[in-house]
Amino acid sequence: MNDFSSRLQNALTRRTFLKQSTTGIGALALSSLLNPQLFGQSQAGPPVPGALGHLHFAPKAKRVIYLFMSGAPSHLDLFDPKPKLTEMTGKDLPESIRKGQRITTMTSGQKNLLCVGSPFKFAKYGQAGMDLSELLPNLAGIADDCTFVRSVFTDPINHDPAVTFFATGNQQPGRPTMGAWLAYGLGTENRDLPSFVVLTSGGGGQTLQSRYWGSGFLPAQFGGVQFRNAGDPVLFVSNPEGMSSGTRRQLIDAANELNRLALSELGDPAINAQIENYELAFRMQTSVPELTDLSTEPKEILDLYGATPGKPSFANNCLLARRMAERGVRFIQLCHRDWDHHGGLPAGLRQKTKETDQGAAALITDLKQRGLLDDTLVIWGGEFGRTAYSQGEIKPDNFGRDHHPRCFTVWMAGGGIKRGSVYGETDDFGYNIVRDPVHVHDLHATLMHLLGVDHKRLIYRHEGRDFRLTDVSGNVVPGLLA
Amino acid sequence: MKRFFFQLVAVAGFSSGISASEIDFNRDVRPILSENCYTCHGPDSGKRKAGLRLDMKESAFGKAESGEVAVVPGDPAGSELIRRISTSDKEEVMPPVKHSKHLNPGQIDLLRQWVKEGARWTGHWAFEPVRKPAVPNTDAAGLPIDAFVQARLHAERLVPAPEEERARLIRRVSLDLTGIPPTIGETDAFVHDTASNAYEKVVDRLLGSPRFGERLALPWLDLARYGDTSGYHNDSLRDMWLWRGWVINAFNENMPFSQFTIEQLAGDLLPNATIQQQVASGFHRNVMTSDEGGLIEEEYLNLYVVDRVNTTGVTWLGLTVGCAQCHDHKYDPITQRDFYQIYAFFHNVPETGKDGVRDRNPKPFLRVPSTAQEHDLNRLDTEIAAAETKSQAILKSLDLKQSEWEKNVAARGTGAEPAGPWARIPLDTDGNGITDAGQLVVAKPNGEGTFVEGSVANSYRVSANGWLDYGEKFGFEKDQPFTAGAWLRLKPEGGSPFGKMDATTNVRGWDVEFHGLRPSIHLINKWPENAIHVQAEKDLPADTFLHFAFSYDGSGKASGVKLYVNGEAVKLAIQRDALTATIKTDAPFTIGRRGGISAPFTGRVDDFRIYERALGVSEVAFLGGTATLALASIPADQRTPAQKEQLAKFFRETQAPEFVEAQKQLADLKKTRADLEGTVPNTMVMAELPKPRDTFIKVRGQYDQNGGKVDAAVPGFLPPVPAHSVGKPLNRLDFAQWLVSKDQPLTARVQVNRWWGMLFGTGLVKTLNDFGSQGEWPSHPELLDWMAADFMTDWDTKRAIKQMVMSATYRQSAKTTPELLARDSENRLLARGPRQRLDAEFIRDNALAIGGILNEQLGGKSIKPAQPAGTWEINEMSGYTYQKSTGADLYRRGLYVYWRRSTVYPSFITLDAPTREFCVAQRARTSTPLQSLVLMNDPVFVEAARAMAQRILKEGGSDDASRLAYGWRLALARPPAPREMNVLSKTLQTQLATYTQDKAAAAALLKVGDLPRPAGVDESQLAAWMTVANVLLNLNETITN
Repeated sequence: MNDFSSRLQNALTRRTFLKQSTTGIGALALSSLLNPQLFGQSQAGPPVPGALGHLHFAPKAKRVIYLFMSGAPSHLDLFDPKPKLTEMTGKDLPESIRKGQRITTMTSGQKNLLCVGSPFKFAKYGQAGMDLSELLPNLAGIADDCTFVRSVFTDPINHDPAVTFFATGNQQPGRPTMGAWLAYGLGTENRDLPSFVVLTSGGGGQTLQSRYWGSGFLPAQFGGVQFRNAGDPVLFVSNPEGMSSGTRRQLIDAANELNRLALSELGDPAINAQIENYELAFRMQTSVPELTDLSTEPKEILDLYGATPGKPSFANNCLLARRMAERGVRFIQLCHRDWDHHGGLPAGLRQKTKETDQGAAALITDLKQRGLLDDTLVIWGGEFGRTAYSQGEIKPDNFGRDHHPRCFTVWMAGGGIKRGSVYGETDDFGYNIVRDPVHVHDLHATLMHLLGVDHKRLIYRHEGRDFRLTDVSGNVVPGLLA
Repeated sequence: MKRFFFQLVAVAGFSSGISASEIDFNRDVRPILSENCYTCHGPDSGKRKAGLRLDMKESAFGKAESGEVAVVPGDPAGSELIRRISTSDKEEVMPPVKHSKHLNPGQIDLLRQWVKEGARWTGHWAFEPVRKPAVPNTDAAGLPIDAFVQARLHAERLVPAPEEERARLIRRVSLDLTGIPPTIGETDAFVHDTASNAYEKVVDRLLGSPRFGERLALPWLDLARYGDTSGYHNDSLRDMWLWRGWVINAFNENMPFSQFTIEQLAGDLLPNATIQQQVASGFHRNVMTSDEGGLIEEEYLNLYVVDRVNTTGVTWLGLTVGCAQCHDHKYDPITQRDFYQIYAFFHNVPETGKDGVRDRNPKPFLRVPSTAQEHDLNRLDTEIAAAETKSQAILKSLDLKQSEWEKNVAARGTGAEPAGPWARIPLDTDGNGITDAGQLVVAKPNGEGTFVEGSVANSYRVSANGWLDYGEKFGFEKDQPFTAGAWLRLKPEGGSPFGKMDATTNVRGWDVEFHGLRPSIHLINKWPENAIHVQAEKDLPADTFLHFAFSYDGSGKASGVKLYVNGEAVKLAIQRDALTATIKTDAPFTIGRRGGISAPFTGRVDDFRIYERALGVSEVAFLGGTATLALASIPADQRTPAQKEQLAKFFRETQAPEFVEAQKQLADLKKTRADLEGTVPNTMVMAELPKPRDTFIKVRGQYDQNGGKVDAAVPGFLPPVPAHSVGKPLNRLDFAQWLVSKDQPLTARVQVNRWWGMLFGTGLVKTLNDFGSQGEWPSHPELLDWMAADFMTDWDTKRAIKQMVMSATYRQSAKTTPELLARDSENRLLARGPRQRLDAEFIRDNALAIGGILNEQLGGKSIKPAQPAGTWEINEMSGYTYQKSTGADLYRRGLYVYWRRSTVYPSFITLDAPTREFCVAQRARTSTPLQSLVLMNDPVFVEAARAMAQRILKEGGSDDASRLAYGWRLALARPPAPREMNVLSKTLQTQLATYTQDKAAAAALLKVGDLPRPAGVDESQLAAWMTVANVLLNLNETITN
């Protein structure tokens, strides 16, 4: 490096940047903070710290894999069997349960809210005797690795606000998502890959808004990067046809040589940041294709997941998630679509569980056999649950369930979560929580806690006030912790 | 002393370590109180402790509930505030131990010093009236802006940087004012212009360019959260580009900012609002809306109004008004009541919570025809009126004719039969009939048919169990025209009501046959190879009498067969059209089945007629009109209105071809107009409900928890509405006029600061969106007020901006030193010129302009440039597909790119564009590897590199050196230095070698993009130059102003 850079190093202290980045918009300063070259490190390798600098507690988990089931799976047909509901099938949901709470306008106009029991068989699995539906045979096999939280609840009753809420702690657009907060606060363990990655699968169903992995008011660099199943896995990672990697290297060298000349002439640290980013971009051109190439996986691993290289699926994404976890991606968010079973629930659930059960269970098994489950937190769940009453007519093999925010099941595994445990309880109709409620904010607080972060202290100043993922509430749930 | 405060201020985290001369309450003290104390001792009455407010002098200097006085001027020891912040008693210390905020020793010392010096207290600076301060006397003979800046630099013992070199300067000001780089010609002209106003001429040219309006529109679109889609849930498509065009035009026409404000917030309420003023009012229709199934109306209506309040707060007041949605503001004197009083202004739009549309605008919207469309619509209106007049005139003339006709019809009894030869079989009491020549037609009855009630007297009823045999009658040849018809009452069982057909060998002959309720007509020589078969496209109704007739013109073609039901032609599908030989058969003609053998009919047949020619439509109508004609025998004054109408309609349609023609013309014109109107663009506008909705304070911000009712009003801590608004219920127009009234101190301050931030990278108040007590103290408060006061004299946008770019401050060189960076890393003191990365859209515009392919078409619909396949589709629920634009539209400016809020155009979002889901006052500026990938490989930028390479080869002279220099200047305006030339030259040579060796690679590289490739070029050479262009487009200097 030239003389200018060394003088720059002396002139700028890390503290100056930290202060600016947390007291105002200072985004450029922030990017410089995340750019170690400014501080004399020219090679990739050491992780880049986040805004927190140091963690608040010793972390149990270093990364998160969040399996988001878009559309909201039915807790009543997968995790929370209710004999009473089955017995009451075809009868009105008692007012003592319904309690006049608000419901969506898709069913609020129905003359009757008729109970409908699950058509699926349940059995008990694992040391905790967790009830699981016949649709989840693979999950049953790893029940002892999981905590099943039957008492999660949320505020919104429609998809858009509910997914936004689960992702950001707020129903309206504008706040950073879980992954963005962690990328911001904890930095990255591998600068050659994005620290927050999103993988999607399952056609149809509700729209996936990019805000579900967005950075909100945090700078865009903390938002999730959607890896795609077709074309470039990361947009624009491939050189154009007819340009070899060797040529690209030469062009980057030329651009950066010119950039360095500009730096010595103008002295703007932004130039330095850009120089470094071209190096990182070049490395991503190798690291991304290497990461996404599943053909190098042995057959028994592909079989474990039910993955087929080149054929996009949830199973492939689960395997990719493991590969990302191995490579230090901080937050890996999978979105599997089309769980919104207002009608045709029995057939729909059969299809969705067929698509997801094996891959999700394989992910736990595989992480475990590699020793990665200990510091990887895996979370599986939708944006809310589904109603005990049927939307529309109940037919022998066809009925639907509407949106239900008052309780639903989320399962978690690894990363400091209790093994083989069931937490919380709902009433005989799976309608209200009767024991140990866990609000979405509590789930967020617990997730942060497991990563070594006090959710009240990972904050960002925006529009004159300090914001955090859990807004003004949220409590760590000790009962979930190992 | 000075040194002491420099340290204190730095410790307090204020600004960027800028020193200060003495304690200023607003700059030094209020921020500490606001940050650490206001949550419990501030504006929020709900959370206030001890009855103490430290945001109000009376409370801070008066007795708290405890009887203690927080601040006793000049007496730190007697001030409870000082005692409590400095005590070591964990029970007493403020802020409390469990509170997340804590004062550091420097802050405590500063507060003590402030009290000791007399605790000078002033109101929050931003809410104080704007007074134009005197311009400081400095040595520099510059503009007032420079005097303020240099006075501060002088106090800081800093000197301004020299003026930027001209090529860099014209590039900076061109990009800043238009988002487009200067041409080489423009640069050269400026560099060589010796006139003293050379720079001013450039600025004036730029301010007059249509590109100026586009440039200024961009940050305004961020504030207005402009999008081409609805945002929520499935992110439906909408059309708001007319509003965007209005914004661009308003800036180009230099509409006063006051008018700009009024028309956007309340253009619809202006007296005699023009179309354009209504279009402008769409500002607050840019809110996201939802069509999600199951949503609750009130919840979403509330969201829309809340968004309007928040957006208005940031855009015009520079305040976080939204913080008062659920409770009084924690830091600023905005009460929750204030919030809902503003809410009431925006609560009367005739809109719905569920917008109910997925591919068009929800109501209310306004159609806005182009000049050409307006002309065509007017022409059609004239033509329609003329056609209507003509039609009416004909109608009038028909009255007399009709009554004469009626007389004749009544006299004749049944009306005039179409001319024969014909045969008629009434089917009233038996199967016998008569011909026009008076010959009897005798039937031989078979099976169990009966004569029961029909359409005209009785009819012949069968249930596949009887028929009437007429022997050899009606045995036509294939070239013989004829028409056959009857009243039929159908049943789903179908069958053939009549026909003459050989059922055994060739199936030769003709018939009508119903498959279910769908009729076919066959003319057959040999089935199936030599036959005509036509079939109606729709089923006919069962269980009602209908008149059924077909004609055949003897042409031997399926198209020669026409079918009429109740006198109306019915569409036929041709199933078979291959008749070449005779259809004559020995099989008998029968009614009730065909040829006496096959396809037995179920239903009734009445009044069968057959003509040995093909009747026209009006004749067939006549045929089916027997019942109607019977009405003519009823005296006119005894007919029911329905009968009158039936008869008149029949007359018009059968006896008045000129009326039928006039009606058809009218219908055609109306359809043309409707089609044209469908193509007229529309845009959402504001409107007021006739009866305003009631507005209630929402308890804790909950949409379904109404508190006290409120009326529309402006916030109490700001000056009241102008006199002309007093004494009547306030509406949006009053509110808009108040925002730009002379006593309202925020709008002008907020807006000039935003433009300052646009040009200098950071606002004088760094927090562009927060002028409240949590916002940052201005780096140059007097300068801000001077500019605000100046702006308020005429609200002249171009003048305000010209003043900024004409300043020596703006024109300084951007070069910096480590020492200056250490002193002032963010350039708040302005001892150097601005340097900032371009906004996402301008990075693209710049590359297209450098490549010479930018399409400078102004305004209009959004366009869809190339984006990676599946970008929309993979996350989509509604099946919208991204239809890439074609031709020149691909190269239009970035601010015209279709803005899908759920999936923003990928390179823009990577380059820090907001999603436009909500109001954004300032974009972040990050630097990431993903941005490098965009500039390296996004086909848009690769294509721009190809265009640039082609341009260099065409325009850049004949040798490599002049071409390299030309390319460099296209990108950076200035000429390259020798070392820079070396790098470029080496790159060119290396890549020339590569692509000469690998011609296939060269050909592949040149394929990127839609631009036609020039014929007869050396592909290896062009590819090598393309890589040089790619390097130039990736330079930090290229994407920086």
